Parts: sequence; C-alpha cells; structure tokens
Amino acid sequence: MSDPATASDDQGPALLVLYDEALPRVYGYLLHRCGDEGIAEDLTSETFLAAVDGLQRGQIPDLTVAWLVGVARHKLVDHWRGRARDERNLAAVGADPRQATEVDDWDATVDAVVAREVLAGLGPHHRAALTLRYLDGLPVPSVAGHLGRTIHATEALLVRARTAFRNEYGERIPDA
Amino acid sequence: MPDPLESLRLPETPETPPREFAAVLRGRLEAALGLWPPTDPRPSTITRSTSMSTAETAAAQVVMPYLCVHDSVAALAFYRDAFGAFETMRVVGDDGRMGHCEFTVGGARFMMADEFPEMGVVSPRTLGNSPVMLYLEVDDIDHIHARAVADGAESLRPPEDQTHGNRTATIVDPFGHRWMLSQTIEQLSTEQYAAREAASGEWTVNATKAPVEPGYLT
Repeated sequence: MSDPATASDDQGPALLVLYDEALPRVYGYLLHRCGDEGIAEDLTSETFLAAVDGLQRGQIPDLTVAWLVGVARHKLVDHWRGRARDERNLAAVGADPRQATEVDDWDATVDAVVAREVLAGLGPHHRAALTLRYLDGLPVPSVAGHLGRTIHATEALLVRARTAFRNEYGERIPDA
Repeated sequence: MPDPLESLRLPETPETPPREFAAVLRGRLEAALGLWPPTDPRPSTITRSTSMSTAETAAAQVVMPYLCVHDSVAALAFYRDAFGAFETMRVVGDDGRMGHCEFTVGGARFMMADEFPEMGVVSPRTLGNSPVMLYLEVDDIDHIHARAVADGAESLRPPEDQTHGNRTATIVDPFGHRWMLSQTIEQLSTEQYAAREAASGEWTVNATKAPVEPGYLT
C-alpha cells in the first residue's frame, strides 16, 4: 500500500490475527516480571502499538510472538529506566567498587518466592539487570544491549546488583 | 561454581489479561492500523452507500441510538463480529459497569451503556421486550443474517424480498435489541412503490414532504 498512514492490507490484519495468541504471552511475560497488573497492561499496550508503528514504517521483517515479547522486554527496561530517573535513589549504583568482588563465593540455594520479593524491592537498575540476566536468561552482552551500557559496565552493574540482592535476601533468610 | 541466581530463571508464562483490557487494546490497534471499517478477521460487509462514512460526517448525525444492554462488553463483541462494528470509546466506572461506550457501524454512530436501574436505565432483558427497531442497511443480508444467528441472535423473520425493493430480515440480538436488516435489491421511486401497493390493494401509500405539524421543522 502506498499510503504511509495506514498499514498494508496484509500486515495490519496479520497483527490482529496474531493478537489473540500473542496477547497472553506478552502480558504474561510482563506481569511476571513487573508484578503489577496496571503496569503490565500499560506496557502491553505500548508493545502492541509499537508493533503497529513498526509495521507502518516497514521495519518488521517477520512479525511473530517472539518478536513481540522482545519488544515487551525493551518496554520493561524502559519502564525501569524511567523509574530510576524518577526515584533518584540509586546510591547503590556506582557505589564502592570494592563490593564488586564480595559475592562470587555465594553458592546457596535461592528460594524463588523470596527471591522475587527481594527483586521487587531492589532499585530499578538492579532489578532490570537481574531480570534480564537471570529471569530471562540472557547472556551479558545481550543484557548490555538492552540496558544501553557497555559489557564492562554491565558486568559491574550485575555484580553490584547481585550484592544488593544478596544483602536483602540475607535479611530475610539469615542462613543463606 | 554454579551461580545460585541461575535458579531464578523464569520461563515465559502466558497470562490472560482482563477481558475488557484485551478488547480496548484491540480497538486501539484497529484504530492505529487505520482499519476503517475493520477488515479482519471477519470482513465487514455493511454497505456504506447511504451511510456517512467518516468520523467527521458521522458526528453530524443528528439522532443516534443510545442502547442499554445487560452486558456491554459482550454486546460490543457481538456487534463487532456480527455487524463489523468499530469500537471508538469506553467509559468504565469503578464498579466495573460500562457507563458509556461508542461504536460505529458503516460509519453510523451508536452509544451504549450497561444497566443503571437506580437511574431508570434498564435493558430489554429487564423490560422483557424492546419497542424500538434498529434499521440497518447491509449489502449481503443473507450472510449478515446467518452470521448474527450463528452468534446467538434470534431470527424473527428470515431474509425475504419486499415490494418496496428491499430484501429484509428481522432479528433480536442476544441483548434483546431488535434489528431490521435491509439490502436494496431494486431502486424504486416512491411513486413506483405506491403503484405496486395500489395494485395489491393491501396498503395505501401517501408520500408527503410537509413538516410533522406547521411551524415544527426538524
């Protein structure tokens, strides 16, 4: 279709056909990571509207659920980035680098339920880094790409995030 | 040494979002995609030959049906699937009731709300019937009729050719509203129609262009 204001005849309907299958997966991905239904709904909306935008610009070579979940991941990171800006309580980020080596001997078994509560209480930067690295299982370079940081900075951030996580976790389960 | 945090791995787990959120987002996507009328998954076959076809001209419609139904969310889905309706607005109260919503069919604007008995707003289900017929012009009446019935409407009268040049059918939708579906199959002037009825002797047709009463102009 030549009109740039509207999606082409097959792409737009393709998104709507995919919608019923993709919606629970995008929403589920977000809900289980942000833990808030309202935020999950907002980010789900942003994800699908971004897909419309991408379709209209002809920037989506292959529209799939996996692609949409990838967009959702970006939106989640953006959300946490925005919160970090808002909260300005990021003393832990960029804190004393001596902390950076303190946790690597930690080999306790982590209680998943407690861990998610701890994650939810961390600062947005730490939460984003740990979510991408551990909940999503992304390799460090990929985490760095999402966060817009260098690999080195991301590794340092992950170490600090792990430290913050372990400290908070230890508060709740002293034996860990 | 294994990283204990690796055990936090969270597989992608689908979750069904609230039904209403899903419907609203679908409407936003249809609007953002510029699908007007929606072309998927079930194409609208509503004729637009005699209807206003853009949001701007639809806003000039001086009378709009304002329906009351016992379940607006379900009704929006039915009108979308059966008639190709295009949702344009929702206003939901903190008690979950639909205080107001709007949709278009073939460019014609409709408003709708849930029941608010405390304000005297009740649906055909509560009333037990509806005295108002909604007349909907379509371009494939047999298909629309079959689709509406398949989606839960009751057929009061199947599609049938009429002397006035339209093929019509009457249904009651699952929310109690009566619709006359009409497809023009023959373009007749009022005089030609009057002549046909005069021949049959059953009805007498008088066409007048006078106001309802002197001085009262709409």
